[in-house]
Amino acid sequence: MANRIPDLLLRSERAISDSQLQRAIDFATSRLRDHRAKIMPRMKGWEEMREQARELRLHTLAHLDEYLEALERKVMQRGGHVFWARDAGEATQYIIELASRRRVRDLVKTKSMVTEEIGLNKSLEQNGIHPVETDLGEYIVQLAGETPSHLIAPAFHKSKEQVAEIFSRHFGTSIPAEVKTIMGVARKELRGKFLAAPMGITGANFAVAETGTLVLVTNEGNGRLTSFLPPILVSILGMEKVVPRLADLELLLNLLVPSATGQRLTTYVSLLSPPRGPHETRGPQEFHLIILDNGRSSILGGPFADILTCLRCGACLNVCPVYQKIGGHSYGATYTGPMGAVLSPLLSELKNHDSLPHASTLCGACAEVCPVKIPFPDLLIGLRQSQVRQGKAPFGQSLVFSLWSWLWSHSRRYAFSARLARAFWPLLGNGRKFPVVSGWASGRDLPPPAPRTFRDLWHERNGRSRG
Amino acid sequence: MIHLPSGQNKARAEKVSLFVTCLVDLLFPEVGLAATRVLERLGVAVDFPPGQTCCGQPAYNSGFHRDAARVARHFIEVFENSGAIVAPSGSCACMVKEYYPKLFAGDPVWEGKARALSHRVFEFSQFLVDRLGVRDLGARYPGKVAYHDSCHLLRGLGVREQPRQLLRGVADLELVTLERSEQCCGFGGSFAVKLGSISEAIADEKIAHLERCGATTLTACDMGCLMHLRGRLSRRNKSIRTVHLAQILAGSNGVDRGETHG
Repeated sequence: MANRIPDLLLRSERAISDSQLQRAIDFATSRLRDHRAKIMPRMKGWEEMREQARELRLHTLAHLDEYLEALERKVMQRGGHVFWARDAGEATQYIIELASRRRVRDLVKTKSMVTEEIGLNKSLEQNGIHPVETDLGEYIVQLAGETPSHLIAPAFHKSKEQVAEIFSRHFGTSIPAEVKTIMGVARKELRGKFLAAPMGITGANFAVAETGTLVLVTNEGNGRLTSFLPPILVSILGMEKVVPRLADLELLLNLLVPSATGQRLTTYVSLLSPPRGPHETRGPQEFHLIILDNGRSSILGGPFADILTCLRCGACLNVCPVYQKIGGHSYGATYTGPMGAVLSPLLSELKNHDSLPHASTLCGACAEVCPVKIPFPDLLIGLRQSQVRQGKAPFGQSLVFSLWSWLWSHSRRYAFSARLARAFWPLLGNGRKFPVVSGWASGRDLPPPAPRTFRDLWHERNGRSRG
Repeated sequence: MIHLPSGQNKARAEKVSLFVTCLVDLLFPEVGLAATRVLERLGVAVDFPPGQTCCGQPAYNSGFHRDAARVARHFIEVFENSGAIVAPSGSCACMVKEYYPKLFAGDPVWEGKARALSHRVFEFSQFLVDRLGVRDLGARYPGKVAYHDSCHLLRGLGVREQPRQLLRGVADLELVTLERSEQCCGFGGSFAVKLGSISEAIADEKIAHLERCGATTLTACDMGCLMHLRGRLSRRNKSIRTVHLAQILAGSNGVDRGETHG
């Protein structure tokens, strides 16, 4: 699936004309927005917290090597294994080899964007290993053969009728479109999987360098079961998600959860220190932590490093006017919405996502809600600028802007261009045939140039004394 | 007794240079005339530096920063010796105020000039309320009016209440609450052309909100947003009028005398 502007536009138009999808996006994003808005008055000192968190995250990135090495030491001291994966291929290969060595056929998984990023499920399936997603939304998406459409609400694009249909097909029995029944079916099915699986795979919301603690934030408790029941646990950590001290979690969780769901705290916040210790009777006996780079280190220290402070709360998606119209899948990338429009083109995914920084009106609503104050409009403009610098902008556009800046950096040339536009306007089909604005005129009327410009009227009114 | 707009004494001593913006100059001169009338009625001496063209934002937002800087340098030269600069656009004011210093960051000559200019730029409603202390301009505009917060004005310049305060001072005007007034209208400059159908879908949502609040007129402080929404409204044969805040404030008999497009 290519991701040039016309491809993006095509997918978007399909999403815009899908009325079921429009209702679903509207319902989900407005609910998440409302929940967030409702809790905000209770979050005293929110602005200071955002500032602190931003500083903490930038500090962590500046010392990322030290914190990651500290984390590695802690995990290894406990008897865990640490693998540094340079890219998606290395990470998936490690897991596949491990699973083969341990003769794992079925495994359980928590919802994790980083596993989506590296295409883990597909690679596993290709090697005869069957992962089962255990977050309800992610489970639905998996059964439907799709990808998640939102960072924290992966299946919101599906109606309960569609989910019932997917479940009925999968289980070979008619399941009614009732939320309770659907949940009951999923719970029963997944409980069995949890108990039987020899391996669990999780992502990680955070990992604490000081203690080697892994943090999972969920509302369904599936993170706890996945990380606790199977004898082998593999956790994949995006390398930017390390946190210096255990005490830092307070600040970050206080920002992440209200921003994501509008809750004060999620139902489950699991702090894990696998593997099982010598005097512990439960928990995984074997633990592998995969620290994933996959393009992150090339973002570090550069002009776009701020995006690595992202906590994946999804608040920017819910307020984005573009996301609210086109939904997640239209982006054609793992990460969507404003954070995805910045991150996806920067990560070493195989696809070129240069169209995504243009999928924004630069309205700034994202930066306003971001719990770590990522300056999204600046980053989006910066990405557009770097495309221009690398000669990736369409030639016609470069030409138009060169000509434009030559004309409009001089008052006489500017006035000349205005006269020219007015003279040629009727020949251009009143704007409809004018190449720069034809994208405009297909759905909106274009105002004609005024018969007399403001400066003409001004001079008429005030005399030409200064003109 | 003749009703004198408040803040007029303060205004007597003011001199401003109008940065009318390219959009207003070329497409909507009536907005510039309305802004001038409002300011002059308050006793402000208005000057129009004739060399002005555009702030350069289209190129800046599209990533063509060399071209944006070329136009921005021209802007700085034209307005370098001006006092307060007033623009009937939150977006263009924000470009000069917030983005020029970024555009010229590290430039030994132009960064300083950009920063000096940055402090003197005001958006029209911001200037009236914050600088002149005006609330009531003695204007009259019968009808239900909805106000749309344009993004750069609201989030770039932090102007939220000023336009509403001015609208509340207008006789016969009923300011209705527009649902999600702070949501972008979908214009976004080149976005509206590059990704036109998404831009239209966002506009349609704004129009749905407008229709729900029963407004007969939509106003804002940016002709970019209004041009986009007006174009969509008229394409969809909707009768809601779109006028710039300055046009409402300039009208004294309910008729916006300057308006030519509708």
